[in-house]
Amino acid sequence: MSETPHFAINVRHLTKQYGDFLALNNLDLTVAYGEFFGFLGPNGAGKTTLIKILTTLMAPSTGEAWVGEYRIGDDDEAIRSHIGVALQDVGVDPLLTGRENLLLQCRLFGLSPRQSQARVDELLDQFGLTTAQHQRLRTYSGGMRRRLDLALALVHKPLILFLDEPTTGLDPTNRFMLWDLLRQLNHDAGITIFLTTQYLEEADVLCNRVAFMRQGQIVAEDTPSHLKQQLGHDVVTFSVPSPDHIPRIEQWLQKSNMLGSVTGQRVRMTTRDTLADVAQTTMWLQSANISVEDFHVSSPSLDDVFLAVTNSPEGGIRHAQISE
Amino acid sequence: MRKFLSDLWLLTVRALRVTIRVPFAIIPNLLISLFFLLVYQGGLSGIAALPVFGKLPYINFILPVAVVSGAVGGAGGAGQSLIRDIDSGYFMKLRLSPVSRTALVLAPMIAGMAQLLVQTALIIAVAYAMGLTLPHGALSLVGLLVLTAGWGLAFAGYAVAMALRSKNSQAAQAATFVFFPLLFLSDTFVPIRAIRAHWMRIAAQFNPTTYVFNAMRSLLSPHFSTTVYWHGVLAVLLSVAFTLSWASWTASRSLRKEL
Ligand SMILES: Nc1ncnc2c1ncn2[C@@H]1O[C@H](COP(=O)(O)OP(=O)(O)OP(=O)(O)O)[C@@H](O)[C@H]1O
Ligand SMILES: [Mg+2]
Repeated sequence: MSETPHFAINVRHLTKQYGDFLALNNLDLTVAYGEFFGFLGPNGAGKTTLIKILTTLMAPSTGEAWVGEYRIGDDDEAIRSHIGVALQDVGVDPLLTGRENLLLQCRLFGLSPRQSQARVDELLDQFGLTTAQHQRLRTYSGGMRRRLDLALALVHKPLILFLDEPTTGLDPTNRFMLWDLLRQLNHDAGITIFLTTQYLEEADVLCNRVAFMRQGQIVAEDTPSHLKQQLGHDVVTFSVPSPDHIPRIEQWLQKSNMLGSVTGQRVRMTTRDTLADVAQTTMWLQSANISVEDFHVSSPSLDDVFLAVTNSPEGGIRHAQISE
Repeated sequence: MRKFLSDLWLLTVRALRVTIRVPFAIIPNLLISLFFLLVYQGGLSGIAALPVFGKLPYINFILPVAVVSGAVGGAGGAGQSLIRDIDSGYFMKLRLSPVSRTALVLAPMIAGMAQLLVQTALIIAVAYAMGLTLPHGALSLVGLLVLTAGWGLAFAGYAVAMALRSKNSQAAQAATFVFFPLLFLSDTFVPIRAIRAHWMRIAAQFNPTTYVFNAMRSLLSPHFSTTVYWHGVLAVLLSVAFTLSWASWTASRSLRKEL
């Protein structure tokens, strides 16, 4: 079957079953060349499963997918030489040094010994690993390993980059450094990036387009700003000093038909009419004699979109109530 | 083809480098082989006076046991190193590179072979110091090494297939226990004619190790028999063909699934 090669990633009716469990349910998705695409969803939604299929590690149960012009299952070797991948679990050789890991990776991707040396120096510098280059990986900290793993994904300057939660385990400095680097790769080098993350702020900052997954299906897909606009309403957040208040607050949320969620001691409510809802809330809190801290009214973030789409019974953007 | 050979070379060098960096994975096996040599020579050499040994020094008779046990252990290391890579996630990284899938599973086997040859050379050197005679000189030595490497390769194929199947170090370790029947249900300590238990004699006849032992012993005896040697080579070739096809079949199946 011929398919136009205009997309960097093209997924058609893709299904993956683990035994009886449906991890990907008839998924359709396209990512254009040059896009920075965020693939989001709660734990177990099927993000890693899709990445493993698109990177040729695993065969789908049914359906087809193309990466660039190559069809999954037919041209796996061509796909592997054109993509860079950093999986959720870091894959480095703990007994080799950082430099040795990178050098081997360069050579396996077809760089000459001389090119490899130069590329390794460049990457070590870019990822701040030059001083640690002669240490074995097992002496690296988690963040250093993560950085080396990302550097390994880039040795051959891939056209399409798959990153499964690349910033997990990185401290803020390194996370921001990586954001800059990824933006650079996307903007300047034109590399298509397919990213999953648990940090929705990250997706908001980096991605041109995001999709939210739930139970193996895409339930919302758009630019971050559109999704937030669609959600529409301002968000009220506050904390209570003691968890004892939470049951009463939950009761009140339900009774007064407010759209809110509680995480630990933090309450987050989506307003319909900002002023009226804020007034009603503060009045009730006063009458109930509950003091609050950190009271904020803000425009919705991607987190709110996430909560809305991943918790509503039908999927799609809806306001929802969750409790933990 | 050039890409394949270069990948194979790179991966083999890396496997060897890693092997050297975890000496605790090699040394016990080497010590066990030397232990076999010392203990059996020390404890059993008296029986060499029996006519069934035909005046052959017992060390010439028992050396193949030490060599084969070293080979099997060394080759099992190929499976172990594969498991280590699967556990560390590095194998996944290798699978994401455009490296030939064959090179991916062949490299640890070749590294295992190299390790085994060094080990065998050491064992032979120690045996030589203990009174081993080489009635056919270099021919004995080369013939011995060829058989050892072949037998090790057959076992490496088995170990790699088990590693890819089980994907877990305990299961792969457990699989190497076939080592015991293979090594001991054979004419390990005395010639097959001198084995009393009927069932053991039958088992020994079906055990390919028996033919490998006999071929090795023939090389170490003044009465070298080409037939016996070729039987040993045949046993090795058949085993290699069997375990390598099994390994490559397992690899092609399991590499398309998740590991
Ligand atoms: N090899 C496997 N065998 C059986 N079930 C699996 C396997 N791998 C994943 N699953 C199941 O498939 C579902 C999707 O898993 P997947 O790893 O794709 O989720 P994810 O979206 O990446 O989650 P996370 O955010 O936690 O990384 C989960 O319910 C998981 O338990
Ligand atoms: Mg995942």
